[in-house]
Amino acid sequence: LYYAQLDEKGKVYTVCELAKEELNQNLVAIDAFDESLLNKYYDAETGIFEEITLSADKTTIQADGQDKATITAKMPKVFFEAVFKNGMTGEVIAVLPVNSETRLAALEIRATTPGEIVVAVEEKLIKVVAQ
Amino acid sequence: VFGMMEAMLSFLRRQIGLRTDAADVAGSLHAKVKDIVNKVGTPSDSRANNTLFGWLNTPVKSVQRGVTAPSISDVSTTVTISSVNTSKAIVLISVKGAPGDSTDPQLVFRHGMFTAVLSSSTTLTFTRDAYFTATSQSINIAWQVIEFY
Repeated sequence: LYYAQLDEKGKVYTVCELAKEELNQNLVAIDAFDESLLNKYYDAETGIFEEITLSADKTTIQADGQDKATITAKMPKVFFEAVFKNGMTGEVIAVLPVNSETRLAALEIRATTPGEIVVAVEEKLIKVVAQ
Repeated sequence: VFGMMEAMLSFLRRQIGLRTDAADVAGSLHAKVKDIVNKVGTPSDSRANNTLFGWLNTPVKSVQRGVTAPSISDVSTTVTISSVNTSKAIVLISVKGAPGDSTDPQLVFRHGMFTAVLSSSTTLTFTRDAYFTATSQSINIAWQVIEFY
């Protein structure tokens, strides 16, 4: 009797083994106690757990204000926009629409001073170094 | 005298009874002993046997467990469990992960420490004193709810 518990967005915030069979719209029966489902998003139509993935075309850029890296977020179906944040402070950098077909949203970043740039979308992080 | 002895022997036979007497709390001595033996049971008994050994061997009614990843910006997180008697259940938790970066070490501590309470027969609530919205955090709470008979 394994279940994934979903928040209002469909994100798995708990994986558990309960004593009895439970019928609850926030509970999805799963085959095993699989902690890797945490923070994934459940698509009720397909029954698939999707996660946010972040990628960057470069991990290093020049801190000259010209060189840029593009950070791409692949978002689960439940998202219509991607909120990019500073991964260290939680401050919102940009809110970008998600392409309805590709499920992608892209953010370009440039730097004028050297250092690490940590970008977050929900709980996912990616780091780009400016030098 | 002979009749008196015969009456006493007859009385004793009735009180002691026979080895074949069925277990009966109000029956003969044999029946009463058999009733006690049945209630004590054997060391291999389980709760379903409803014997003294069975009860001693199985004090736990149910164990539920899980791992919860609290939202970054929530002080309180509630999970659903199967119904338990809250006066006969205990909660065990342990917390792992990185509570995130902050220049205030006290805030990091308060952010990563949780209490766990059975807020109802079907809900378990984790609460922390404070949080900050650094997305560099990754906290998981492993929990168990153990219910006793």
